[in-house]
Amino acid sequence: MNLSGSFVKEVLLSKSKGDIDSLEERIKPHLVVAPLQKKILKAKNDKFELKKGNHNGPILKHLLKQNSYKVTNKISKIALNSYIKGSKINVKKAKGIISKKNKLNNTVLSKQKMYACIEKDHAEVFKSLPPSYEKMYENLYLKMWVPYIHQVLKIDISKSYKETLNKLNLQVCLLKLAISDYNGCKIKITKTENKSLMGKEGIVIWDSQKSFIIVCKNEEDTFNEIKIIPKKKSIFEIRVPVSIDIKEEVIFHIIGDRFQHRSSDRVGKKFKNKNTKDISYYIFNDDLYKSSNSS
Amino acid sequence: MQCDLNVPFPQDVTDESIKQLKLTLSTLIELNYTHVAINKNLTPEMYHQPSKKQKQQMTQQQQQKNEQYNLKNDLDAFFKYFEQLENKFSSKNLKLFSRVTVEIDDPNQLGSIFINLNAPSNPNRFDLVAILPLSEKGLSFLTNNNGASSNSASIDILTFDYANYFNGFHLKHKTMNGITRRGIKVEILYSGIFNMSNQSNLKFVNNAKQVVRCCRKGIKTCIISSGAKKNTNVRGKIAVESILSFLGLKADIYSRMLKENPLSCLLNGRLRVRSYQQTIVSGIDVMQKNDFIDEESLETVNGFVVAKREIDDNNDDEHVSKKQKV
Repeated sequence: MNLSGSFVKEVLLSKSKGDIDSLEERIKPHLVVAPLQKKILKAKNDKFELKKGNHNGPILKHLLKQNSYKVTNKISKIALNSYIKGSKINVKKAKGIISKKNKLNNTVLSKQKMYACIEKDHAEVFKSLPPSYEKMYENLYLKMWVPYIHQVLKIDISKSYKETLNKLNLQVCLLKLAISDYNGCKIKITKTENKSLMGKEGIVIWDSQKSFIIVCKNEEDTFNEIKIIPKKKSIFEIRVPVSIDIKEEVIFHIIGDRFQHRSSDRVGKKFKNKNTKDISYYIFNDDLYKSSNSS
Repeated sequence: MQCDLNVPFPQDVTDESIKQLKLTLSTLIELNYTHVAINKNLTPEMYHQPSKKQKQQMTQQQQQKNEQYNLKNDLDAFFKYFEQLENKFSSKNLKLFSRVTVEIDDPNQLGSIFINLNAPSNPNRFDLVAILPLSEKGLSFLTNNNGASSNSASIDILTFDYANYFNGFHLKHKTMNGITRRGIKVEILYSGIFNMSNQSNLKFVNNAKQVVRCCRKGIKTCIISSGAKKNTNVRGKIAVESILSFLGLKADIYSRMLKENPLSCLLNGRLRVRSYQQTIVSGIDVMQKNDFIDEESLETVNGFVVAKREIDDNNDDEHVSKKQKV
């Protein structure tokens, strides 16, 4: 190429008129590889951004797709994990504060006064305490979940419970309950392989794939705690109220081993019967009902 | 806990035959049995409705029999007697279950009998459903894609006719493993060993050894039950274990075949009646039928179990009302 380059300069270009240097640039022996134009890339990026302001046309579905779904899912998991851990630590702190006070004054505070006391003096601890069971019972259970389940099962509260139940079909109700959502429901553990979980009761905050996260109901005058209860090897009792006063309730049970799906996946799921060798504890283990009757 | 899941219900119902049934049940109580199932047998003539061509080939006696018999009335009569027996033995710590075995000769004759037996609208549903294949086609019905494996859960037990040779079929590891993996148990009937006529005791040993060989020595697959038509053919725990050791089984399996395997079989059957695909169960206890009515706070309305709250449990409401005032 060098030989031919010199030949071009000396013989051909010297005979032509005008500036030689400007002509040299035009006939360079090397190929130049330049980056792609930026305008084309920009036009592609515009597709994924929704236009702000007045948007008249219909929004296409593939434009709404979230690209960083995995990242947001991870962050939300970490946030929930840290909340549960933080609440456990703060319950310990709050217990220590009140036991000190009780020793000084030789008194025992009631549950409401305990919460009020910490709200006054230690505002930081109070912020990250889990909400009390009574609050959750009123807001989540009575206001949210009970009207929802009445709508799903088509229960009229205005009539007497015998009339409404005679109209319903049991098999259809069981099918609908298998699909429905359990955030905000009140559950109780009646049968387990793990004996320390027996008799725990509370309101569901989050219904994950393999566990229920609940706010526990404590009968003693202590702070409410958040607990993670695995679905495997345990059976949960739910009660659906039928009358207005919540005096009459229909009893159902959830088998945890067959219920290991997220609530969003459960809608399109086709359940199937399986071999029952892994739920043999359902017969052999003792029951809450039997132990209460015998005592 | 001891189980016996096969006490046959007499084919033609008379006072004597039902007396014999009550005698066998009372001897089972003496031998410390707790869970007993009463078996109704359905032969192919009972459920099969022949076509016009087949009717022409039949003799007149067969045609008359076919017209007289009605399956629905027969099943209703069975449940009537079953309720009487339940009321009689309810105080004696014995739990009774209903069971049906369907004999299969040709799968094409079956029609819609399994759908009718397991229909949720049916008020009288059997707790257990079993199959008795009479030929190789009947056994392949269990493994077929179109047959029972598509709705496999509707079958709990597989039995054989131990008094006769298995005519024309030989059991294989492959088919039996496929069946037992789904939770279907294989049954051995020991009453044939006491029957000396027609060499049926020899045939029993031959057949039972063949079944044990293909079921991996019966660890999680086999159950044992009497098929006793007389009360003298029923045996206790120790006698049954001696029969099992005679068949070449190991000692750790005896209690499994009497207690754990049949109970898991019963659980499978009861969950089919009481629950939606083993996810959500209605009522308090799966195994009990009507015992919880005795308690005052519980009530059943149209299949639902309703609990009534008393004054003690109203504490929750008081807490809420206090909160609202504050």
